[in-house]
Amino acid sequence: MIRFDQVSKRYTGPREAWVLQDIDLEIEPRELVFVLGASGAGKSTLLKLVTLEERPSKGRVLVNAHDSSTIRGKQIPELRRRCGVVYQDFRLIREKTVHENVAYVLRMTGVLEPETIQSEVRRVLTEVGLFAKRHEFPQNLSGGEQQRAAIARALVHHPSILLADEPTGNLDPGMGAEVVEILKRVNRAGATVLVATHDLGLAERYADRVVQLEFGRVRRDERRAVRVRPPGDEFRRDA
Amino acid sequence: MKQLEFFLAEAWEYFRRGKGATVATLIALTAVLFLFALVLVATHNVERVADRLHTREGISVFLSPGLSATRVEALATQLRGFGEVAEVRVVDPDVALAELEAELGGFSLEETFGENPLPHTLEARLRPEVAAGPGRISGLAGEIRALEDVDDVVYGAEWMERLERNLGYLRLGSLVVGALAALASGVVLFTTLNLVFVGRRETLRILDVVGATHEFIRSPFLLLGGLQCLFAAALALLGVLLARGVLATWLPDLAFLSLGGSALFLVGSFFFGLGASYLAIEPALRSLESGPDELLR
Repeated sequence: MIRFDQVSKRYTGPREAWVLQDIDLEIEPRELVFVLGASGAGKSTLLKLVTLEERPSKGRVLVNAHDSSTIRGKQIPELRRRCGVVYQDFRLIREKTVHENVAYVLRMTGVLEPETIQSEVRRVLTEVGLFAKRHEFPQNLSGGEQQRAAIARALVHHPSILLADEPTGNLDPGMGAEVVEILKRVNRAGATVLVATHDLGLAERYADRVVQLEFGRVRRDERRAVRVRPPGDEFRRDA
Repeated sequence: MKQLEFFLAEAWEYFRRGKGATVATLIALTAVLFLFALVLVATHNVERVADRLHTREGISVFLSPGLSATRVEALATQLRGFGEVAEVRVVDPDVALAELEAELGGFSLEETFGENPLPHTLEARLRPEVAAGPGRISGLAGEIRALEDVDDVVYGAEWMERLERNLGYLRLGSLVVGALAALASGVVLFTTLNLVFVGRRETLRILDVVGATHEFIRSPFLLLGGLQCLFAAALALLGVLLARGVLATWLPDLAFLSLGGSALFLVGSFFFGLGASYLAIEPALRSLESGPDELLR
């Protein structure tokens, strides 16, 4: 469960501004929520408040048992490991292969047995349809493939929350749809998924719930009926 | 163990990626540690000489010319009666002359003077506790000088005192050089590790965001710094060993650091590297989490 209690966020410095104001929001486990808004509406900041990359200026954020107002610095890595994060620009480690990028997160979480690492990486890369390209370096992959690698990295340690910040922003519509389908499947497998996007069409098509931000405030919070997926809309798997 | 293997592999990766900077660091560290090792070896050798002189510390008692062998032996016995004296050797004038002429490269003193100019000498070796205290030696020398048929008493206390004083300065110098070496090594490590850190900042930022602990991010850097110092220390010792080989022609008795001393130098360098790397990396690590990241906003 993720809860925003009267959360406001103000950036200081030369570009001082309130980017979020008085956000009250509760996201239930296993929800697929699209946070919709124009550039500068506060979507990315909202996601960053979940992993405490940013701290609220006012109010508090509750993520499972973690409370932003009382959490200690040493507990933050633990909170972040419960989340998977996917970025618009993928943020893969360029000097590591796809396999190594994904395995890195496992090692970070204390999984050290080579056999376990191999099988977990194989599982997640197969899931996102990228196993065949496991030995490629990120720069040799297409944008869609890089994003799928980033999703694999975000999922390999079984996070209960997946945050995707403009995951289709750098992709053409076809690849974007593929990526969102993967996110949807992750959600169906039991994870809470938050997707920040400025793409209204994407949100309308895939979201179970749309939270629209405007100038840092929630303008619309709408739960949608669960839709039946159109036929022939299956994921492509290449492995 | 597997975690350590992983961190070592990462440290090697950091070394490999930042090859230019890390090799330059290694050279700089080696140069600094070489100088430090040289000073340590010099101090070690002077200490050895001082120790040896301490144990050899003695008094030369020159007797009046023309004494009979019986009288000389009687004086030797009298000297042995002093509690401070461990051993007395009677040096016959002929033996002393032969030794002196040999030291002078075969120059004949007897031919020059027409006779052996050297008197009987008693070489008194002192007990170590007496030898360690120059004040006690001078008191003893005064007592011996007062004996009948004793011409002169010569001892090296004043010289020893000067050596002790200089040895003190040398030890202090080692400490100063050690501190300077530590400072220089620290600056070198600080600069390089920060360069490596900046070069990998984006990667480290990603690791931080996906939940890596600071220990996880920090460990390869600590190992990199520690191993660089260890490797540089080993090269420095090798350099000193080679230098000793060259100097052995002129100073055959020149000693290298003891095995324990060498091990301490290596282990100390490694732990110094770890510590310096920790201090170098900590502020950079904190900067990962401080304030909004424009790239990620």
